[in-house]
Amino acid sequence: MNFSCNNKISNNQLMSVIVAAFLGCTAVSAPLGIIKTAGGGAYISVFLGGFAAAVLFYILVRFTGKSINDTYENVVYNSLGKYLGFLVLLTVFVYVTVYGGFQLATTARMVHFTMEKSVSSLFAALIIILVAFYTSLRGRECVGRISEIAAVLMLVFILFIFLISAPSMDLITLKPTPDEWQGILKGAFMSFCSLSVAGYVFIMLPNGENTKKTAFSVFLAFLIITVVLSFGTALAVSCFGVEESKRKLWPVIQMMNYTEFPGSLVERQEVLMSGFYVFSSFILASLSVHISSVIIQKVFKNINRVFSVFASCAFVVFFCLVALRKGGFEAVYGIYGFSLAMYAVMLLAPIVSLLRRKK
Amino acid sequence: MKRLIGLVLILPFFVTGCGGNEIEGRNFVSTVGYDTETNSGYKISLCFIEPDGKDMYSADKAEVVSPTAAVTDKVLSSGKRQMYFGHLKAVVIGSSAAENGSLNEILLDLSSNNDISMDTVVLCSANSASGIISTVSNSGDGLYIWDFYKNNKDKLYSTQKMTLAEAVKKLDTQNGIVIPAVDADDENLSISGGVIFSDNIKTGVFDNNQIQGFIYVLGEGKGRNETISINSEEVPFNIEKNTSSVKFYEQDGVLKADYDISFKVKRLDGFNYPEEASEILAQQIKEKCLSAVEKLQHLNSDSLGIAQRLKRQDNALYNKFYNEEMFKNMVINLEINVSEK
Repeated sequence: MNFSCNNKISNNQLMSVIVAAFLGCTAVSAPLGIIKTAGGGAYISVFLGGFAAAVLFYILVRFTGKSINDTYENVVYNSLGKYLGFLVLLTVFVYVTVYGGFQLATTARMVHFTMEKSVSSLFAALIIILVAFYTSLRGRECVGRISEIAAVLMLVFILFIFLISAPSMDLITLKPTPDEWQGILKGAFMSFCSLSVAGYVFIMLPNGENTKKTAFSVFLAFLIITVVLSFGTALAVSCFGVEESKRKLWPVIQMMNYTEFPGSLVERQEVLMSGFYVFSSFILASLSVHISSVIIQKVFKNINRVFSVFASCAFVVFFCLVALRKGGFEAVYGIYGFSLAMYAVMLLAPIVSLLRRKK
Repeated sequence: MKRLIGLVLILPFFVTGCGGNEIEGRNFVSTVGYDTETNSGYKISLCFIEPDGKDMYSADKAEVVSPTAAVTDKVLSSGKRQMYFGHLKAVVIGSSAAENGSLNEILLDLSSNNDISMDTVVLCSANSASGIISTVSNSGDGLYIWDFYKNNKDKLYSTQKMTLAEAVKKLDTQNGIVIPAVDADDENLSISGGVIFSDNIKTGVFDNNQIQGFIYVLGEGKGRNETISINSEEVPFNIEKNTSSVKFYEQDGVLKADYDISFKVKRLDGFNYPEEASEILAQQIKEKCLSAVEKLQHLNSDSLGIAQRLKRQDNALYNKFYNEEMFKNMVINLEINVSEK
């Protein structure tokens, strides 16, 4: 544990950050596109793509982790030099603010539709970003600790819903037909893209010596997201059928709303469910603001911490506005190519660093 | 920093949407009924609850004529009060809407409305939906249909609970659907039997025996009681388990489906059961199931979802035999197994 330092997180916290931040946003944005592409076998796509992402992250963290013996932004400057290092960090900055902003827009729309229509999407986004401002100001350990609470709460609740829903699953609908396999493979690629968040993972690495443990934490985090998302997608398709799932904005979340709690315990279940995803959005927004503010501070060395966090918030809100104008989901799908390119960008510095060490 | 923390803590209170309509300013719609009007679209009947009435649970009724089936607070607002659909419990399709093929449009419009729960109960009336809504609103708190299903959760006899999610899913994947029927006189509601749809149009009805048989073929008979009559004495069995599986095969160029429907039943205390009770029960169940399946085949209403099952279970057979008359022309065999606990 790293209680004495606000700028480091443990392996467990890293795992919680990944689960808490990306489980919510991928559950909102990924399944719809994958169901549209893969049909009844969408859950297979989610699992294949997610598992591939988990394995890839394990390999990448395992073999590049040793070169990240300092913070990632320092490794970039030390190994790539001033100009190339600046370009890499600028790319990461743009990716993180765009991704964070687009996902924020999706969550803000969900708040508007499910919780209270009189709260505008923009206002909901501003509230989330304000909390993110405070969290990221306190350092990455603050994000890590909040994530530990959020991840456990989310997983326990989701597991409970799955246990209630599983017995009534319609297995016939879930059995893929031979002509659906091509779509399932395309969907697997979409799932892989939706979990390709290298821009976040490498910067949040705990930069400790035990890269094997870190790599396993990252692998486990993505595996948890994959299993939950895959099972959620299967339940949504089983519950609504393929065609109705395609018409739903948030099939997995709406499936969870449909699940009846024993004893009519909760009256407005959708609000409770949305609450968990908003919690996840808080974590992702905090993470986006924190990472981009760290980059600003690295590039402009003497800049005030509060100002760098404020500037990061402004960028995230700007891209959130862009996504709100574009419709939300379409915007998120549009940056999948960018997400894939980030693997290469993020690996550049660790690889150069490793090569230099060998020499 | 303290000011910032204060701001962070205060601002979320503005997300509550308290500036919107207060509870007293809303009508809570509990049941919606659809009839079609010649040349003017739909006659939408609403049973709603007024929170600020003399009695907290008093119900009222309103009717609106609309060119589309979509229900929005803007279309249906009465005076200053907003019609709120977040607590909608039941939808009733009137016979006019059922007969002219409006079922699909009505259910899709409802399911696309984010306010409306996919758990909303769907029913169909042999008469006008407006009459049903009048009876519901006159029957006290306007929640009769909801209460009926809530209080009889596992004890439904001649009906089943069909939610909006199930209905929409069946409409998307099958060429037929059976929607539980509702009927009413001035004071009483009766929920029993079913209305059969083929290709989105009402083509027939199930009587009580047939809908029971239909439920058994689907393997959804758990919790129900089946009563047999021996020597003018009625003895009931409680169905503790009901499973159904189907195998498809081709024989002499004909598509065949063998249903294996199994029951685990329990005798109830206080009745005299003769030795042959199990055989009589199995025979009675078989007659009900056969009657239901024959009627569905006669009307070419694939409410059992056989085409969808065949597509997923044996794609080659599906590609060979699938056409609009496949369900009507196939041979369906039923094997009933009853075992006592």
